[in-house]
Amino acid sequence: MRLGSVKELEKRRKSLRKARDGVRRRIIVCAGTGCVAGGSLDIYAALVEQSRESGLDVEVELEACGGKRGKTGPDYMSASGCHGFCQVGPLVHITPDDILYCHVKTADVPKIVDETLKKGKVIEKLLYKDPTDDERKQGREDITFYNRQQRVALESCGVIDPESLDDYLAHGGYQALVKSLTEMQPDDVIDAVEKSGLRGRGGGGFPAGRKWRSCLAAPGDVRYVICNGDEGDPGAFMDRSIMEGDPFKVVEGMTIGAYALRSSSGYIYVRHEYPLAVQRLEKAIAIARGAGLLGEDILGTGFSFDIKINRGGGAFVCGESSALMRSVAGYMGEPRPKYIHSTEKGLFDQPTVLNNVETWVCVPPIIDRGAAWFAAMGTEKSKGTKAFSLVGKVNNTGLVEVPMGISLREIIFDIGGGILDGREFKAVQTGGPSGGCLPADRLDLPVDFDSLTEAGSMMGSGGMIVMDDRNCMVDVADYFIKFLIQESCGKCVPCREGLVQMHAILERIIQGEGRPDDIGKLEHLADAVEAASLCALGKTAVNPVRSTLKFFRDEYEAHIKDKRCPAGVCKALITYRINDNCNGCTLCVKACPVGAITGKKKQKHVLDTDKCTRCGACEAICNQNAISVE
Amino acid sequence: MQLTIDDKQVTAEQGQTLLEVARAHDIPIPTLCYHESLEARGSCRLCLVEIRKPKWPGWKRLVASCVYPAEEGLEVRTATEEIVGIRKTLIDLLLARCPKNPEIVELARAYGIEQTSYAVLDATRQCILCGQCVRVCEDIIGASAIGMYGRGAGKKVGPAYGKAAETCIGCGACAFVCPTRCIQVIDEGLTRRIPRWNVEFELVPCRICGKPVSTRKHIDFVRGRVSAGPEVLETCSDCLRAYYGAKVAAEGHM
Ligand SMILES: Cc1cc2nc3c(=O)[nH]c(=O)nc-3n(C[C@H](O)[C@H](O)[C@H](O)COP(=O)(O)O)c2cc1C
Ligand code: SF4
Ligand code: SF4
Ligand code: SF4
Ligand code: FES
Repeated sequence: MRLGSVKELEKRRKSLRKARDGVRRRIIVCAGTGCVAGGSLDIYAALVEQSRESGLDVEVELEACGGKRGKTGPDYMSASGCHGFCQVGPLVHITPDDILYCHVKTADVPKIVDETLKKGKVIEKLLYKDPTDDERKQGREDITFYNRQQRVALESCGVIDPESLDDYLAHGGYQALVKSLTEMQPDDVIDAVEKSGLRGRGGGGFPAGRKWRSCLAAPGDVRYVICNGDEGDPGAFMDRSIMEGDPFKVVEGMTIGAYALRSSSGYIYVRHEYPLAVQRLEKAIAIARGAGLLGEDILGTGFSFDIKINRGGGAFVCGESSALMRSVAGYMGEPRPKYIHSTEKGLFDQPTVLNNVETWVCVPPIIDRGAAWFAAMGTEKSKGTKAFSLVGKVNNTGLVEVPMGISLREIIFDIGGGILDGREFKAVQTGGPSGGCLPADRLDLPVDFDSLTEAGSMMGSGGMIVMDDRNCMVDVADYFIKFLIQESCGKCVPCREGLVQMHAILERIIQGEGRPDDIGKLEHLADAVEAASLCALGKTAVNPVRSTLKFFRDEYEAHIKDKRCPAGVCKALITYRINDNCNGCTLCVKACPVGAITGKKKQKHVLDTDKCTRCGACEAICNQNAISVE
Repeated sequence: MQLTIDDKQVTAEQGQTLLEVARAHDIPIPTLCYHESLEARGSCRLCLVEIRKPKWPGWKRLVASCVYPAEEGLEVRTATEEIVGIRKTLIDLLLARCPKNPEIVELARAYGIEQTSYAVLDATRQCILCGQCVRVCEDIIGASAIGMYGRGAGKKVGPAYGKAAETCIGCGACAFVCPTRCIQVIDEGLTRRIPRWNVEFELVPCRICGKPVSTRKHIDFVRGRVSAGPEVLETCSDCLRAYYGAKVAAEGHM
């Protein structure tokens, strides 16, 4: 249905809101990548079918929920994007009762229909079990993973149906575009973005308003807006979740940006490993176009803008702005020296604004609720909220969005529920592969762009990996350097050759062949690679080494001088022994591939350290904790 | 416009790069990936210089002079201790990459490096991936016979998929610009081989003296683009010079 004018849009919204107000319960099945892999689409189909069979009044389209059913209207069942808590998925969320069912299986559906949907009873065993106190918690309000979050970018993710423009409209979608087109001049939009203090969420933290303004000031008639959905950080999935879970907001944000910049053409660059995001975005773009919200003469205002999707080349470096623009233009995704800003000469050498997915989706709420609302959140120089993907050795992993300025401790210990298995926190790596590792005495650091950079790490796009006492920091640094060697484009000498040599040094330290001057050599190389690399990949690639050298130098020294890996990770530097916990079960004797363990049944076994190849098979199989690592 | 390079006042034109300005004033800056007829690539990073701006006290930046445009009032330093140190490290890294390449060995010596401080992973490597050959073949010759493939440490230069360079015309321009002289063009009788690109060509003898002029494919390629007959295209440069020289002497003009 084409919405030919603002009036028609508002009329449509009104009728959808009426339908929404008639909904008795909303049952949301997560259809993010994680839950879909767990079978959530089947769960959704079964829920709809079985509840209809048992006589419940169920609708799957918001539009159909209206009519004369009043407050005791139908149950509205829809699939949503990622809820951010994939660890306990597939998830089913029932509102307004706020019941969150975790690890749901298709076999649970009859019970959910019978008990919960028909009788209103909560099924205890499907509720989230809090690992810190082993108690069942009913809903988002009770679960610290959710109730300590503040969601702006992820607000509708896991709530609305990502394939329904109706649902988006009922949730206030396109209010911001209407406001921009009818009440604001393009410059007012830029003013609002500038006043909100919004800084780019893709890594650099550059003020979005300032970027837009300099693009507008650049000479040229053709301007482009681009959304960076390349998300190359391994383990990060904020942008994917937004594109999958709230695609209309990405489109709306870009449309507002295009209006402000007088641009008629936009691109979304999506990582090629994100098929679901591409599919949802394609659908949203097609629906928006059909509804007159994209394309020629948007909402009859005379403003025209359209979006194309570009599938990324799959390399981490393609997320870098100049490489991305080369790639969109059809060339190899190699960074170029940027002494002329892309706001002046970007895509096809025209003035271009490139922003990250999360940055774009902050735009509609800023316009809708006002710059002051956004600026009231966060710290003086880092406004608003930031989404992180919290992974590693924490109890609760997933996507979390928090106000800027919150401490690392609150994220890791409150939202994350502390360290797995009650072990000791050692470090948190923020900022993706080229971020840094921060130790326990930095846990109270406020999380914002400048504090993290000052501490030797960075915000990056929001990766957060928690490590415990069993992570070796030399090994961790080497892991990230190896990743970056693979992902470097190889164009410039310092990054291509320097990282390889840093890896060679780290590797020999790990092998127990570290030399006394290796730390000095690493530092020397880090200085040169940082200073001389062409693009930010090379310039920041040294962070993992730098930060671990700064905060965990003793661990490097233990490897080099004492030939010892304190965390018991580096195989060449550890010794396995059997301790007094051994009950002589003989499991390890069978597991050891080189026959290094001997002993009689029910008697303490003996491990021959000379024969041992340190493969770790005995440690893995022992259930008595009797194999110690030294 | 006016700027200073190593405290020397120099004039520059709009659009000139810092490297061009420096060279015009005989201020040396080392380069490996730069060639004056090619679009600068900024990849070897040897041409790094320090820039400061009087309007921003305390601010400084290291930039690749081959791509950085000259700016009014800029203060440029080409050989601070920091820059020389970084250049040495870069050359040391290149020496670890190509320990047996005479050009690189000589460059390293000039910087006082006899032996690399880094690990040599493959002592046979000769190419530093500066991309000059690729750019000359594409932008000047127009053959686009070779390219850069892969990324990171595994990057390679050559024909696509490592096959024979199909569109190579055997002109030898790539070998001519290569700073490490690692592209061999081997002429034997009336055959030219460029083993690096897996290609072999027939050479055309000079109409007059019989010395090879260039490859048949090169001459055909040029014939398609200029209006000249075999009397020019199939004559070697020495004989051409002799012919025109005699003509000018006899007729007073060409
Ligand atoms: C190696 C490298 C990879 C990058 N990858 C991404 C990415 O995946 N997504 C992203 O939004 N920005 C990425 N960036 C940052 C972009 O270059 C650019 O700064 C950003 O997209 C601008 O948008 P923002 O200001 O909204 O953050 C990357 C930068 C570098 C150097
Ligand atoms: S720093 Fe690394 S990724 Fe960037 S241009 Fe140089 S080689 Fe490529
Ligand atoms: S010899 Fe072949 S590869 Fe080299 S420049 Fe000429 S055409 Fe290109
Ligand atoms: S072959 Fe020579 S010109 Fe080509 S990239 Fe290698 S070093 Fe440069
Ligand atoms: S000459 Fe190689 S980077 Fe400038």
